[in-house]
Amino acid sequence: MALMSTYFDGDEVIEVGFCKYFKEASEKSNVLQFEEKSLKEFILNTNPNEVLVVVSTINSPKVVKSVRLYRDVLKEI
Amino acid sequence: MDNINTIPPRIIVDEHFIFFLEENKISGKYLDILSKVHRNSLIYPWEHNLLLDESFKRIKDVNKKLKFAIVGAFHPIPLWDNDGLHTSIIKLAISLSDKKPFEVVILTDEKNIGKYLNNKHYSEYAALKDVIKIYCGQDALNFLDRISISKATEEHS
Repeated sequence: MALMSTYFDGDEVIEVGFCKYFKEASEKSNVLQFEEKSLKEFILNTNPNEVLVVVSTINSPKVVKSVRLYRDVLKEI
Repeated sequence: MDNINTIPPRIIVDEHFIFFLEENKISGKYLDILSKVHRNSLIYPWEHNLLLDESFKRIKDVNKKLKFAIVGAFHPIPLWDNDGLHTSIIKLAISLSDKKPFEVVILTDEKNIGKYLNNKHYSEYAALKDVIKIYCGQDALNFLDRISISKATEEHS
């Protein structure tokens, strides 16, 4: 079963999923990096059951460049 | 749709349905419903709703803001061959129709629904009409409204 929705868009990967999986990756992955420290803090401080939109670049390593709440994305469209 | 309260039909949309939502300024409301069905699916979480990759690209070209919302509501599927949008979606629906929940719904707009209904892969086999429904306009919205008040959108992460 898929843990999240993933879409490769050029050099970016867009991932939408429950915060708890991003939280786990943030804490345990040796590969994952963050463009700004505040992005990691946002993930760690968000309710695990919130749905997040995480955009990363997938050159080596994987670098998170934006994190938003999915519900905020829906409000903007 | 007897089992809509537990397992809603697999849902396939084309870009025309998304543009229909956009034109009527209701994309936020209905993508929210679709995203809840998608992630809370008991059988296919995060893969329940499908959109062709080509459709995703066309939506993104028209409205970049929509791409993040779309990723949360649909699983992208590559175009199978050179049959074009309507035949590819009908073939995708047929391939899903023999798997749980044995019901597929295609959502499109009024200009395109005829191209699905009259597609030879759909129109020439009557039994398909029982398992593959095609909706547009208000019928499509009514279908999503029914889902939104069912257990299909209950969060159970």
